[in-house]
Amino acid sequence: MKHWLILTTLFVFPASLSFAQIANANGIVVVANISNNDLTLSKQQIRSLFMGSSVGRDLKVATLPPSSLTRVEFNTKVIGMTESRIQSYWAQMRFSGRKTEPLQFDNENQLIEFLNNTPGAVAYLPASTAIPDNLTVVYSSANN
Amino acid sequence: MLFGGMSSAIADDTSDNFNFSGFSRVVAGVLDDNNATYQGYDNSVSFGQGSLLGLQADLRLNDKFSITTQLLAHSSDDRNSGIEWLYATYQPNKSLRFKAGRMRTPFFIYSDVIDVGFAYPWISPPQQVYKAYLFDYFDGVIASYELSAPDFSAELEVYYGAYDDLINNSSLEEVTAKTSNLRGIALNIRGEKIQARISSNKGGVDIDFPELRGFSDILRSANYNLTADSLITSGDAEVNQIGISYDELNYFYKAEFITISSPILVVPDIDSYYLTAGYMVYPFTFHATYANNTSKYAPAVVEIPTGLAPEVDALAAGYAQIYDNLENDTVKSLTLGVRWDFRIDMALKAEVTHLRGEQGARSFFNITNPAEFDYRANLVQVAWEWVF
Repeated sequence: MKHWLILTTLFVFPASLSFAQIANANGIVVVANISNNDLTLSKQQIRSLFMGSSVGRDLKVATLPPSSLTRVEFNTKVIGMTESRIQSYWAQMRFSGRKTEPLQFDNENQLIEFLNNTPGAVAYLPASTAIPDNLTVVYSSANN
Repeated sequence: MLFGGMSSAIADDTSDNFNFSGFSRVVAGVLDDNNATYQGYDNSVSFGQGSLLGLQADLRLNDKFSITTQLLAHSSDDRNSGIEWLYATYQPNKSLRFKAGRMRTPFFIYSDVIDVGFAYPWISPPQQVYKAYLFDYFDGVIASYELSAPDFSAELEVYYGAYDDLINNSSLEEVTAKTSNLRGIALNIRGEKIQARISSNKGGVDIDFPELRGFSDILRSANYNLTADSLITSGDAEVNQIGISYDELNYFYKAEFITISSPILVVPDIDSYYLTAGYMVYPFTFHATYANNTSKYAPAVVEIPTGLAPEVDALAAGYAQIYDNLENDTVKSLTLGVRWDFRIDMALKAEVTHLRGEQGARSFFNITNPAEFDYRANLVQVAWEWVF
Protein backbone atom coordinates (compact mmCIF):
# COMPACT_ATOMS: atom_id res chain seq x y z
CA MET A 1 0.00 0.00 0.00
CA LYS A 2 2.77 2.34 0.98
CA HIS A 3 4.57 1.67 -2.32
CA TRP A 4 1.49 2.54 -4.29
CA LEU A 5 1.24 5.80 -2.43
CA ILE A 6 4.83 6.67 -3.29
CA LEU A 7 4.29 5.72 -6.92
CA THR A 8 1.13 7.80 -7.08
CA THR A 9 2.87 10.78 -5.56
CA LEU A 10 5.86 10.45 -7.87
CA PHE A 11 4.15 9.97 -11.19
CA VAL A 12 0.40 10.22 -11.27
CA PHE A 13 0.07 13.39 -9.25
CA PRO A 14 2.50 15.62 -11.15
CA ALA A 15 1.12 14.27 -14.42
CA SER A 16 -2.47 15.04 -13.49
CA LEU A 17 -1.41 18.42 -12.14
CA SER A 18 0.21 19.41 -15.41
CA PHE A 19 -2.72 18.12 -17.46
CA ALA A 20 -5.10 20.12 -15.27
CA GLN A 21 -2.98 23.21 -15.86
CA ILE A 22 -2.99 22.55 -19.58
CA ALA A 23 -6.76 22.30 -19.59
CA ASN A 24 -6.89 25.72 -17.95
CA ALA A 25 -4.17 27.21 -20.13
CA ASN A 26 -5.01 29.90 -22.66
CA GLY A 27 -3.56 28.15 -25.63
CA ILE A 28 -0.47 28.50 -27.73
CA VAL A 29 0.59 30.90 -30.43
CA VAL A 30 3.44 30.36 -32.85
CA VAL A 31 5.26 33.59 -33.58
CA ALA A 32 7.79 34.39 -36.31
CA ASN A 33 10.15 37.21 -37.18
CA ILE A 34 9.24 37.52 -40.87
CA SER A 35 8.44 40.34 -43.25
CA ASN A 36 5.23 38.75 -44.55
CA ASN A 37 2.66 39.72 -41.89
CA ASP A 38 -0.12 37.74 -43.58
CA LEU A 39 1.55 34.35 -43.37
CA THR A 40 -0.40 31.67 -41.53
CA LEU A 41 0.61 28.05 -41.21
CA SER A 42 -1.60 24.99 -40.66
CA LYS A 43 -1.29 22.81 -37.56
CA GLN A 44 0.38 20.12 -39.68
CA GLN A 45 2.91 22.65 -41.04
CA ILE A 46 3.71 23.82 -37.51
CA ARG A 47 4.08 20.20 -36.47
CA SER A 48 6.42 19.48 -39.42
CA LEU A 49 8.43 22.60 -38.67
CA PHE A 50 9.01 21.68 -35.01
CA MET A 51 9.82 18.10 -35.96
CA GLY A 52 12.64 19.29 -38.18
CA SER A 53 11.07 19.67 -41.64
CA SER A 54 11.45 22.86 -43.62
CA VAL A 55 7.88 23.62 -44.84
CA GLY A 56 9.69 25.19 -47.79
CA ARG A 57 10.82 28.30 -45.90
CA ASP A 58 14.10 29.33 -44.37
CA LEU A 59 12.96 29.50 -40.74
CA LYS A 60 15.01 29.10 -37.58
CA VAL A 61 12.99 27.09 -35.09
CA ALA A 62 13.46 27.62 -31.35
CA THR A 63 11.92 25.79 -28.40
CA LEU A 64 11.69 25.77 -24.61
CA PRO A 65 13.13 23.03 -22.37
CA PRO A 66 11.14 19.83 -21.58
CA SER A 67 10.43 21.16 -18.06
CA SER A 68 8.49 24.12 -19.50
CA LEU A 69 4.68 23.94 -19.16
CA THR A 70 4.38 25.86 -22.44
CA ARG A 71 6.33 23.08 -24.13
CA VAL A 72 4.11 20.44 -22.49
CA GLU A 73 1.05 22.26 -23.82
CA PHE A 74 2.59 22.60 -27.30
CA ASN A 75 3.49 18.87 -27.31
CA THR A 76 -0.06 17.98 -26.28
CA LYS A 77 -2.02 20.31 -28.54
CA VAL A 78 0.14 20.57 -31.64
CA ILE A 79 2.69 17.75 -31.84
CA GLY A 80 0.29 15.20 -30.33
CA MET A 81 3.03 13.20 -28.63
CA THR A 82 4.42 13.02 -25.13
CA GLU A 83 7.91 14.33 -24.37
CA SER A 84 9.36 10.82 -24.19
CA ARG A 85 8.10 9.96 -27.70
CA ILE A 86 9.52 13.24 -28.98
CA GLN A 87 12.92 12.46 -27.42
CA SER A 88 12.86 9.02 -29.09
CA TYR A 89 12.06 10.68 -32.39
CA TRP A 90 15.03 13.05 -32.09
CA ALA A 91 17.35 10.17 -31.21
CA GLN A 92 16.20 8.41 -34.40
CA MET A 93 16.66 11.56 -36.51
CA ARG A 94 20.05 12.52 -35.08
CA PHE A 95 21.71 9.11 -35.26
CA SER A 96 20.39 8.36 -38.74
CA GLY A 97 21.74 11.74 -39.89
CA ARG A 98 18.35 13.06 -41.00
CA LYS A 99 17.49 16.04 -38.82
CA THR A 100 18.80 17.89 -35.81
CA GLU A 101 16.86 19.29 -32.87
CA PRO A 102 15.80 22.94 -32.86
CA LEU A 103 17.60 25.52 -30.74
CA GLN A 104 16.45 25.46 -27.14
CA PHE A 105 16.19 28.42 -24.77
CA ASP A 106 15.90 28.30 -21.00
CA ASN A 107 12.85 30.57 -20.66
CA GLU A 108 10.28 32.63 -22.55
CA ASN A 109 12.13 35.94 -22.10
CA GLN A 110 15.21 34.57 -23.84
CA LEU A 111 12.99 33.08 -26.54
CA ILE A 112 11.32 36.47 -27.19
CA GLU A 113 14.72 38.14 -27.32
CA PHE A 114 15.89 35.59 -29.87
CA LEU A 115 12.69 36.13 -31.91
CA ASN A 116 13.16 39.90 -31.84
CA ASN A 117 16.77 39.79 -32.93
CA THR A 118 16.75 36.99 -35.48
CA PRO A 119 15.10 37.35 -38.90
CA GLY A 120 13.42 34.03 -39.77
CA ALA A 121 13.15 32.95 -36.12
CA VAL A 122 10.00 31.04 -35.18
CA ALA A 123 8.89 29.80 -31.75
CA TYR A 124 5.81 28.96 -29.67
CA LEU A 125 4.65 31.10 -26.74
CA PRO A 126 1.65 31.13 -24.40
CA ALA A 127 -1.31 32.89 -26.09
CA SER A 128 -1.38 35.34 -23.17
CA THR A 129 2.12 36.67 -24.02
CA ALA A 130 2.29 40.29 -25.17
CA ILE A 131 3.65 39.83 -28.69
CA PRO A 132 6.00 42.62 -29.87
CA ASP A 133 4.74 44.45 -32.99
CA ASN A 134 7.60 43.34 -35.20
CA LEU A 135 6.64 39.67 -34.79
CA THR A 136 3.90 37.83 -36.69
CA VAL A 137 1.52 35.25 -35.22
CA VAL A 138 1.53 32.45 -37.82
CA TYR A 139 -0.55 29.97 -35.84
CA SER A 140 -2.91 30.02 -32.88
CA SER A 141 -4.17 26.86 -31.16
CA ALA A 142 -7.42 28.71 -30.33
CA ASN A 143 -8.37 28.79 -34.04
CA ASN A 144 -7.62 25.14 -34.71
CA MET B 1 23.05 39.39 -23.42
CA LEU B 2 21.24 37.48 -26.11
CA PHE B 3 23.58 34.54 -25.77
CA GLY B 4 23.66 34.76 -21.98
CA GLY B 5 21.50 31.75 -21.15
CA MET B 6 21.73 29.69 -24.31
CA SER B 7 23.45 26.77 -22.62
CA SER B 8 21.68 24.08 -24.59
CA ALA B 9 21.46 26.12 -27.76
CA ILE B 10 25.18 26.65 -28.10
CA ALA B 11 25.88 23.10 -29.17
CA ASP B 12 23.55 23.43 -32.16
CA ASP B 13 24.45 26.96 -33.10
CA THR B 14 26.49 27.70 -36.21
CA SER B 15 29.12 29.34 -34.02
CA ASP B 16 30.05 25.90 -32.79
CA ASN B 17 31.19 23.74 -35.67
CA PHE B 18 31.92 20.54 -33.83
CA ASN B 19 29.19 18.51 -32.21
CA PHE B 20 29.66 15.38 -30.22
CA SER B 21 26.83 13.04 -29.22
CA GLY B 22 26.24 9.38 -28.52
CA PHE B 23 24.13 6.53 -27.30
CA SER B 24 24.66 3.59 -25.05
CA ARG B 25 22.73 0.57 -23.89
CA VAL B 26 23.27 -2.18 -21.38
CA VAL B 27 21.11 -5.21 -22.03
CA ALA B 28 20.77 -8.32 -19.89
CA GLY B 29 18.87 -11.36 -21.06
CA VAL B 30 18.13 -14.99 -20.35
CA LEU B 31 16.40 -17.75 -22.33
CA ASP B 32 14.30 -20.20 -20.32
CA ASP B 33 15.49 -23.20 -22.31
CA ASN B 34 18.68 -25.23 -22.08
CA ASN B 35 18.38 -26.96 -25.44
CA ALA B 36 18.98 -23.89 -27.60
CA THR B 37 20.25 -20.33 -27.62
CA TYR B 38 18.56 -17.31 -29.22
CA GLN B 39 20.36 -14.12 -30.26
CA GLY B 40 23.25 -15.44 -28.21
CA TYR B 41 21.18 -15.80 -25.03
CA ASP B 42 21.15 -19.10 -23.16
CA ASN B 43 19.68 -20.20 -19.83
CA SER B 44 22.06 -18.13 -17.74
CA VAL B 45 21.81 -14.35 -17.50
CA SER B 46 24.24 -12.56 -19.80
CA PHE B 47 25.02 -8.90 -20.47
CA GLY B 48 27.20 -9.39 -23.49
CA GLN B 49 24.78 -9.84 -26.37
CA GLY B 50 23.23 -6.42 -26.86
CA SER B 51 25.27 -3.94 -24.86
CA LEU B 52 27.01 -1.21 -26.83
CA LEU B 53 28.37 2.31 -26.92
CA GLY B 54 28.07 4.57 -29.96
CA LEU B 55 29.76 7.93 -30.48
CA GLN B 56 28.84 10.39 -33.19
CA ALA B 57 30.87 13.39 -34.26
CA ASP B 58 29.43 16.03 -36.57
CA LEU B 59 31.77 18.58 -38.08
CA ARG B 60 30.06 21.48 -39.79
CA LEU B 61 32.28 23.02 -42.45
CA ASN B 62 29.83 25.75 -43.48
CA ASP B 63 26.07 26.28 -43.97
CA LYS B 64 25.89 23.60 -46.63
CA PHE B 65 28.61 21.04 -45.89
CA SER B 66 29.17 18.77 -42.91
CA ILE B 67 30.96 15.53 -42.10
CA THR B 68 29.58 12.88 -39.75
CA THR B 69 31.11 9.75 -38.32
CA GLN B 70 29.69 7.20 -35.95
CA LEU B 71 31.87 4.74 -34.05
CA LEU B 72 30.46 1.70 -32.33
CA ALA B 73 31.85 -0.53 -29.61
CA HIS B 74 29.78 -3.69 -29.36
CA SER B 75 30.00 -6.42 -26.76
CA SER B 76 28.45 -9.17 -28.91
CA ASP B 77 30.72 -11.68 -30.66
CA ASP B 78 28.45 -11.51 -33.71
CA ARG B 79 29.12 -7.85 -34.33
CA ASN B 80 32.25 -6.00 -35.30
CA SER B 81 33.19 -2.81 -33.50
CA GLY B 82 34.52 0.18 -35.40
CA ILE B 83 33.33 2.80 -37.86
CA GLU B 84 29.62 2.38 -38.55
CA TRP B 85 29.01 5.52 -40.53
CA LEU B 86 31.31 7.97 -42.26
CA TYR B 87 29.69 10.38 -44.64
CA ALA B 88 29.66 13.94 -45.94
CA THR B 89 26.41 15.87 -46.15
CA TYR B 90 25.67 18.55 -48.71
CA GLN B 91 22.47 20.47 -48.11
CA PRO B 92 21.97 23.14 -50.81
CA ASN B 93 18.64 24.20 -49.28
CA LYS B 94 16.32 23.11 -46.50
CA SER B 95 14.39 20.66 -48.68
CA LEU B 96 17.21 18.86 -50.43
CA ARG B 97 20.03 16.81 -48.92
CA PHE B 98 22.81 14.64 -50.34
CA LYS B 99 24.96 12.29 -48.32
CA ALA B 100 27.98 10.39 -49.59
CA GLY B 101 30.10 7.81 -47.81
CA ARG B 102 29.53 4.66 -45.76
CA MET B 103 26.00 4.46 -44.41
CA ARG B 104 23.42 2.01 -43.14
CA THR B 105 21.05 0.77 -45.80
CA PRO B 106 17.67 2.41 -45.09
CA PHE B 107 15.52 -0.69 -45.71
CA PHE B 108 12.96 -0.43 -42.93
CA ILE B 109 11.70 2.12 -40.39
CA TYR B 110 14.43 1.40 -37.82
CA SER B 111 17.16 -0.13 -40.04
CA ASP B 112 19.48 2.82 -39.71
CA VAL B 113 19.03 3.23 -35.94
CA ILE B 114 18.97 -0.45 -35.02
CA ASP B 115 21.72 0.16 -32.42
CA VAL B 116 19.98 3.18 -30.90
CA GLY B 117 17.60 1.46 -28.51
CA PHE B 118 16.38 4.80 -27.18
CA ALA B 119 14.72 5.38 -30.57
CA TYR B 120 12.25 2.47 -30.34
CA PRO B 121 10.01 0.89 -27.69
CA TRP B 122 11.46 -2.65 -27.67
CA ILE B 123 14.73 -4.03 -26.40
CA SER B 124 15.02 -6.31 -29.45
CA PRO B 125 13.15 -5.04 -32.52
CA PRO B 126 11.22 -7.94 -34.13
CA GLN B 127 13.90 -10.34 -35.40
CA GLN B 128 11.70 -11.56 -38.24
CA VAL B 129 12.04 -8.12 -39.85
CA TYR B 130 15.22 -6.67 -38.36
CA LYS B 131 17.59 -9.64 -38.28
CA ALA B 132 20.38 -8.78 -40.70
CA TYR B 133 20.23 -10.69 -43.96
CA LEU B 134 22.09 -8.88 -46.70
CA PHE B 135 23.97 -5.63 -47.20
CA ASP B 136 23.25 -3.80 -43.93
CA TYR B 137 25.73 -1.15 -44.99
CA PHE B 138 26.66 0.40 -48.28
CA ASP B 139 29.20 2.78 -49.75
CA GLY B 140 27.45 5.28 -51.95
CA VAL B 141 25.13 8.26 -52.04
CA ILE B 142 21.67 9.09 -50.65
CA ALA B 143 19.60 11.97 -51.94
CA SER B 144 16.50 13.07 -50.09
CA TYR B 145 13.88 15.62 -50.91
CA GLU B 146 11.27 16.90 -48.51
CA LEU B 147 8.03 18.66 -49.26
CA SER B 148 5.43 20.09 -46.97
CA ALA B 149 1.76 20.56 -47.78
CA PRO B 150 -0.86 22.04 -45.43
CA ASP B 151 -2.11 18.55 -44.49
CA PHE B 152 0.98 16.37 -44.73
CA SER B 153 4.71 16.31 -45.21
CA ALA B 154 6.59 13.84 -47.37
CA GLU B 155 10.18 12.77 -47.77
CA LEU B 156 11.50 10.94 -50.78
CA GLU B 157 14.83 9.18 -50.43
CA VAL B 158 16.84 7.47 -53.18
CA TYR B 159 20.21 5.81 -52.80
CA TYR B 160 22.82 4.05 -54.87
CA GLY B 161 25.92 2.15 -53.86
CA ALA B 162 27.83 -1.08 -53.39
CA TYR B 163 29.19 -3.20 -50.57
CA ASP B 164 31.25 -6.31 -49.89
CA ASP B 165 30.17 -8.18 -46.79
CA LEU B 166 30.57 -11.41 -44.91
CA ILE B 167 27.28 -13.22 -44.44
CA ASN B 168 26.16 -16.35 -42.70
CA ASN B 169 22.46 -16.42 -43.34
CA SER B 170 22.32 -20.19 -43.69
CA SER B 171 24.09 -22.89 -41.78
CA LEU B 172 26.63 -23.03 -44.59
CA GLU B 173 29.86 -21.30 -43.65
CA GLU B 174 30.45 -17.59 -43.53
CA VAL B 175 31.06 -16.39 -47.07
CA THR B 176 31.81 -13.15 -48.89
CA ALA B 177 28.86 -11.48 -50.56
CA LYS B 178 29.59 -8.74 -53.05
CA THR B 179 26.70 -6.40 -53.63
CA SER B 180 26.86 -4.06 -56.57
CA ASN B 181 24.37 -1.76 -58.20
CA LEU B 182 22.55 -1.48 -54.89
CA ARG B 183 19.70 0.99 -55.25
CA GLY B 184 16.57 1.87 -53.39
CA ILE B 185 13.75 4.32 -53.09
CA ALA B 186 11.74 5.15 -49.98
CA LEU B 187 8.76 7.43 -49.56
CA ASN B 188 7.79 8.60 -46.09
CA ILE B 189 4.48 10.42 -45.66
CA ARG B 190 3.55 12.00 -42.35
CA GLY B 191 0.08 13.31 -41.59
CA GLU B 192 -1.18 14.55 -38.26
CA LYS B 193 -1.57 11.09 -36.76
CA ILE B 194 -0.73 8.61 -39.49
CA GLN B 195 2.68 7.97 -40.91
CA ALA B 196 3.41 5.61 -43.79
CA ARG B 197 6.67 4.45 -45.31
CA ILE B 198 7.07 2.41 -48.44
CA SER B 199 10.40 1.30 -49.83
CA SER B 200 11.82 -0.82 -52.60
CA ASN B 201 15.45 -1.93 -52.69
CA LYS B 202 17.43 -3.98 -55.19
CA GLY B 203 20.99 -5.11 -55.48
CA GLY B 204 23.08 -7.45 -57.58
CA VAL B 205 24.45 -10.01 -55.15
CA ASP B 206 27.34 -12.36 -55.88
CA ILE B 207 28.15 -14.86 -53.16
CA ASP B 208 31.59 -16.36 -53.32
CA PHE B 209 30.89 -20.05 -52.88
CA PRO B 210 33.73 -22.08 -54.47
CA GLU B 211 32.36 -25.49 -53.36
CA LEU B 212 28.93 -24.78 -54.75
CA ARG B 213 30.37 -23.52 -58.05
CA GLY B 214 32.70 -26.50 -58.29
CA PHE B 215 29.84 -28.95 -57.71
CA SER B 216 27.71 -27.08 -60.24
CA ASP B 217 30.50 -27.53 -62.83
CA ILE B 218 30.67 -31.26 -62.12
CA LEU B 219 26.89 -31.58 -62.57
CA ARG B 220 27.11 -29.66 -65.83
CA SER B 221 29.88 -31.88 -67.15
CA ALA B 222 27.66 -34.88 -66.36
CA ASN B 223 24.90 -33.16 -68.36
CA TYR B 224 22.57 -32.52 -65.41
CA ASN B 225 22.17 -28.93 -66.51
CA LEU B 226 18.87 -28.13 -64.76
CA THR B 227 20.37 -29.34 -61.49
CA ALA B 228 23.56 -27.39 -62.12
CA ASP B 229 21.52 -24.25 -62.91
CA SER B 230 19.63 -24.46 -59.63
CA LEU B 231 22.82 -23.89 -57.63
CA ILE B 232 22.66 -20.15 -58.25
CA THR B 233 25.18 -17.99 -56.40
CA SER B 234 24.49 -14.59 -57.96
CA GLY B 235 21.56 -12.47 -59.06
CA ASP B 236 19.36 -9.52 -58.16
CA ALA B 237 17.98 -9.58 -54.61
CA GLU B 238 14.92 -7.47 -53.87
CA VAL B 239 13.70 -6.13 -50.54
CA ASN B 240 10.32 -4.38 -50.28
CA GLN B 241 8.68 -2.78 -47.27
CA ILE B 242 5.48 -1.10 -46.15
CA GLY B 243 5.29 0.46 -42.70
CA ILE B 244 2.40 2.27 -41.07
CA SER B 245 2.10 3.93 -37.70
CA TYR B 246 -0.72 5.73 -35.97
CA ASP B 247 -0.02 7.99 -33.01
CA GLU B 248 -2.38 9.41 -30.43
CA LEU B 249 -1.19 11.19 -27.32
CA ASN B 250 -1.62 8.14 -25.11
CA TYR B 251 -1.50 5.19 -27.50
CA PHE B 252 0.01 4.10 -30.80
CA TYR B 253 -0.11 1.35 -33.37
CA LYS B 254 2.73 0.32 -35.62
CA ALA B 255 3.06 -2.32 -38.33
CA GLU B 256 5.66 -3.28 -40.89
CA PHE B 257 5.48 -5.82 -43.70
CA ILE B 258 8.54 -6.85 -45.65
CA THR B 259 9.43 -9.26 -48.44
CA ILE B 260 12.85 -10.44 -49.54
CA SER B 261 13.32 -12.38 -52.75
CA SER B 262 16.28 -13.51 -54.81
CA PRO B 263 17.18 -16.26 -57.26
CA ILE B 264 20.21 -17.18 -55.11
CA LEU B 265 20.02 -20.67 -53.68
CA VAL B 266 21.23 -19.87 -50.16
CA VAL B 267 19.01 -16.76 -49.81
CA PRO B 268 15.44 -17.85 -49.06
CA ASP B 269 12.37 -15.89 -50.07
CA ILE B 270 11.10 -14.26 -46.89
CA ASP B 271 7.81 -12.59 -45.92
CA SER B 272 7.78 -11.04 -42.45
CA TYR B 273 5.64 -8.67 -40.48
CA TYR B 274 5.01 -7.32 -37.02
CA LEU B 275 2.06 -5.57 -35.38
CA THR B 276 2.63 -3.39 -32.32
CA ALA B 277 0.27 -1.60 -29.99
CA GLY B 278 1.43 0.73 -27.24
CA TYR B 279 -0.28 2.47 -24.37
CA MET B 280 1.28 5.34 -22.46
CA VAL B 281 0.82 6.39 -18.87
CA TYR B 282 3.54 8.99 -18.64
CA PRO B 283 6.42 8.23 -18.06
CA PHE B 284 5.63 4.57 -18.82
CA THR B 285 4.94 2.93 -22.19
CA PHE B 286 3.38 -0.53 -22.23
CA HIS B 287 3.59 -2.36 -25.54
CA ALA B 288 2.70 -5.64 -27.19
CA THR B 289 4.07 -6.98 -30.48
CA TYR B 290 3.10 -9.98 -32.56
CA ALA B 291 5.55 -10.96 -35.28
CA ASN B 292 5.61 -13.79 -37.80
CA ASN B 293 7.39 -14.79 -40.96
CA THR B 294 7.70 -17.41 -43.68
CA SER B 295 10.95 -18.44 -45.28
CA LYS B 296 11.14 -20.57 -48.43
CA TYR B 297 13.96 -21.90 -50.57
CA ALA B 298 13.58 -22.67 -54.24
CA PRO B 299 12.55 -26.35 -54.63
CA ALA B 300 15.21 -28.91 -55.46
CA VAL B 301 15.35 -30.04 -59.09
CA VAL B 302 14.46 -33.70 -59.67
CA GLU B 303 16.63 -34.67 -62.61
CA ILE B 304 19.35 -37.06 -61.45
CA PRO B 305 18.20 -40.69 -61.55
CA THR B 306 19.10 -42.94 -58.65
CA GLY B 307 20.24 -46.57 -58.74
CA LEU B 308 21.90 -46.30 -62.16
CA ALA B 309 25.50 -46.11 -61.10
CA PRO B 310 27.34 -45.36 -57.85
CA GLU B 311 28.88 -42.20 -59.40
CA VAL B 312 25.45 -40.84 -60.32
CA ASP B 313 24.07 -41.76 -56.88
CA ALA B 314 26.95 -39.80 -55.34
CA LEU B 315 25.95 -36.75 -57.39
CA ALA B 316 22.32 -37.08 -56.26
CA ALA B 317 23.44 -37.49 -52.64
CA GLY B 318 25.73 -34.47 -52.89
CA TYR B 319 22.88 -32.39 -54.29
CA ALA B 320 20.48 -33.58 -51.57
CA GLN B 321 23.11 -32.76 -48.96
CA ILE B 322 23.21 -29.11 -50.10
CA TYR B 323 19.45 -28.82 -49.62
CA ASP B 324 19.67 -30.53 -46.23
CA ASN B 325 22.06 -27.81 -45.11
CA LEU B 326 19.69 -24.96 -45.95
CA GLU B 327 18.15 -23.79 -42.72
CA ASN B 328 14.77 -22.14 -42.35
CA ASP B 329 14.32 -19.28 -39.90
CA THR B 330 10.58 -19.23 -39.28
CA VAL B 331 9.25 -18.12 -35.93
CA LYS B 332 6.12 -16.65 -34.39
CA SER B 333 6.68 -14.35 -31.45
CA LEU B 334 4.69 -12.38 -28.94
CA THR B 335 6.51 -9.66 -27.01
CA LEU B 336 5.16 -7.82 -23.98
CA GLY B 337 7.23 -4.96 -22.69
CA VAL B 338 7.40 -1.78 -20.68
CA ARG B 339 9.58 1.29 -21.14
CA TRP B 340 10.09 3.78 -18.35
CA ASP B 341 11.45 7.17 -19.46
CA PHE B 342 12.74 8.09 -16.03
CA ARG B 343 14.87 10.94 -17.37
CA ILE B 344 14.74 13.02 -20.51
CA ASP B 345 17.80 11.18 -21.87
CA MET B 346 17.45 7.76 -20.22
CA ALA B 347 15.00 4.88 -20.23
CA LEU B 348 14.72 1.54 -18.51
CA LYS B 349 13.02 -1.29 -20.38
CA ALA B 350 11.86 -4.80 -19.60
CA GLU B 351 10.34 -7.29 -22.00
CA VAL B 352 9.36 -10.93 -22.39
CA THR B 353 9.25 -12.57 -25.81
CA HIS B 354 7.48 -15.86 -26.28
CA LEU B 355 8.96 -17.69 -29.29
CA ARG B 356 7.36 -20.51 -31.25
CA GLY B 357 9.59 -21.92 -33.92
CA GLU B 358 8.66 -24.35 -36.65
CA GLN B 359 9.36 -28.00 -35.87
CA GLY B 360 12.50 -29.08 -37.69
CA ALA B 361 13.43 -25.55 -38.80
CA ARG B 362 16.23 -23.54 -37.23
CA SER B 363 13.80 -20.70 -36.43
CA PHE B 364 16.55 -18.18 -35.50
CA PHE B 365 17.60 -20.53 -32.69
CA ASN B 366 20.99 -22.08 -32.34
CA ILE B 367 19.81 -25.54 -31.36
CA THR B 368 22.26 -27.31 -29.09
CA ASN B 369 20.13 -30.33 -28.17
CA PRO B 370 17.82 -31.17 -31.12
CA ALA B 371 16.44 -34.34 -29.49
CA GLU B 372 14.97 -32.43 -26.55
CA PHE B 373 14.16 -29.05 -28.08
CA ASP B 374 10.43 -28.31 -28.46
CA TYR B 375 10.87 -25.08 -30.49
CA ARG B 376 9.26 -23.01 -27.77
CA ALA B 377 11.10 -20.65 -25.48
CA ASN B 378 10.78 -17.37 -23.60
CA LEU B 379 13.38 -14.66 -23.80
CA VAL B 380 13.43 -12.23 -20.86
CA GLN B 381 15.42 -9.02 -21.22
CA VAL B 382 16.00 -5.82 -19.27
CA ALA B 383 17.82 -2.80 -20.67
CA TRP B 384 19.10 0.63 -19.79
CA GLU B 385 19.17 3.14 -22.66
CA TRP B 386 21.01 6.42 -22.74
CA VAL B 387 21.47 9.15 -25.33
CA PHE B 388 23.83 12.06 -24.83
